[in-house]
Amino acid sequence: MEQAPDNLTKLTHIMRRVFENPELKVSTTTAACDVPNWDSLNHVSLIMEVEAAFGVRFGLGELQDLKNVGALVSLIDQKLKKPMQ
Amino acid sequence: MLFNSSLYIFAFLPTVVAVYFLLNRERLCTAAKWWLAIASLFFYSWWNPANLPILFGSMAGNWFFANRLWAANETTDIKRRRWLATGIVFNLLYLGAFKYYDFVAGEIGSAFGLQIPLLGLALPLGISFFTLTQIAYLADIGDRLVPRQSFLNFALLVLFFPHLIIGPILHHKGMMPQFDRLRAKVFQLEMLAAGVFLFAIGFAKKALIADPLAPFVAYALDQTPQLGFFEAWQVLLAFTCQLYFDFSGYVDMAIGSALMLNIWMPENFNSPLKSRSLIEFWSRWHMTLTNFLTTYIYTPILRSLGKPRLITALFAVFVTFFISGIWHGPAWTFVLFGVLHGTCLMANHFWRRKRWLMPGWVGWVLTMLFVSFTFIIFRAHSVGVVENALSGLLGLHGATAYAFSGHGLSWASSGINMNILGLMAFAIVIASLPHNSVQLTIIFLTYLKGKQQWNRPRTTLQN
Repeated sequence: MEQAPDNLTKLTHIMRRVFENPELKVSTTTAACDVPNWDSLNHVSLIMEVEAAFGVRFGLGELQDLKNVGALVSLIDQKLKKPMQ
Repeated sequence: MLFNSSLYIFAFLPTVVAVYFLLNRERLCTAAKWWLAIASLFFYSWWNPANLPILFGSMAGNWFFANRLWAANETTDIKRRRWLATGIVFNLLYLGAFKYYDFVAGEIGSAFGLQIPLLGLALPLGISFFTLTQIAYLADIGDRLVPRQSFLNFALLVLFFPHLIIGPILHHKGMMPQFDRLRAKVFQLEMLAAGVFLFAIGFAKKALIADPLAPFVAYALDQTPQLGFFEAWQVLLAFTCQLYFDFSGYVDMAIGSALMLNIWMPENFNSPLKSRSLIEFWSRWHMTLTNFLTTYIYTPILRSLGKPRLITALFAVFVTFFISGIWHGPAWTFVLFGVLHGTCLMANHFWRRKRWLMPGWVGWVLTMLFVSFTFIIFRAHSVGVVENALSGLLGLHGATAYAFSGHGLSWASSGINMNILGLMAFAIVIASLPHNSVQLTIIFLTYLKGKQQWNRPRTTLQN
């Protein structure tokens, strides 16, 4: 759990870049409807940026029931603990 | 068996629910699952038992590929990809043989003057849905999201009667853990009440709005050679109401039935007629299909095209909706439906990127007009019906077609049917209520239980 704040900060930087909003405030409860540019195109961009930055790989079916940023962070944590391949 | 038949409501559903909880109470949990699976087969085969072998064939193939994939997941990546690709091709060919072969063969034949033998296979009930469910299942195993399962669990996911024929499209991850929760195996009066509540709303949507509109729509579109201006606009609105209340009512009955078994299925409609853009519409209409398309078609296409850019995203949107159109059925009208939605969604995305603005009500009017017109295309048996409707909407056939009225159901001399207008006014009031049926059910359940104490599977993160 100690990793969570770090990953959240790192994710915040990525999100600010992808959504072109340097002021964007992100918390674990932030959801797509709270972020103006979070549409299906930027969602794929975000996922690809996250994969590159954290060195993880998401399965297609994993991405569809993430409720909020907190869920994405815990998914990243889980992947980093148990790397695939 | 239809959800709105008395056989289902008064015999099938009560028996299934009662026996399921009795078996669970005797701690025969595996038997309870088998009971659900077998009852679902009975439900499926009620109309036509000849469809059963086709369903079994699809499941046998997918169970084979699922096992190969689980084995391959422990070895090399390349093996896994090969088995996944083969499994998906199997599903597409299987669906294609029943649904598309004759259409494609006929079209090629008439284009080149060839005599290609047709298969003449009847389209088995629910094949489009159970094929998608199983493709998602294989894709999720390929991504290591589904641990090795018993055959019973796989069968229950595919066969579970509330979703078998017409969706919502289910995923292993959202469903199977629910079947294994101990609390869900104990009969809960509140859940039964909530299920009956939602089922009743769904039944009312279908019986009080959709079904009474159906003969009018059928008469206008199928038996009126030249639709007048008034009739065309009435039928445009009437069919949108009919389709929405029919489909969402049916899904409410499905979700309600599952609730009586303590199972939450994902919601499929979230007040789509309130949408103020086409993008919003597809995030509210047939949500589990949109979700499937986004996850397993749009995203892989976009990812395969390198760094996502607007132009590649628009391309991916178009291809996705083109495929969605074809999935709905083998006919040029479905292709046209997909192409129109794909094109307008591209325009909508482009517009949004440019941050151009539009007053909300203008967006709502445009969205509803576009969607209603494409629904007419969706329903039409031929392009001729679409032409007739379009000419009528534009007033090319004059104000009214009452001169053509036949016997039985006929147009009033004014071209305006007051019963239909009254029914549509009622439908519009219902559709514009602040809470939809699923939200009302959640409010009702929260009231019954005193607090929110369950985890409802959410449909999606993005909109």
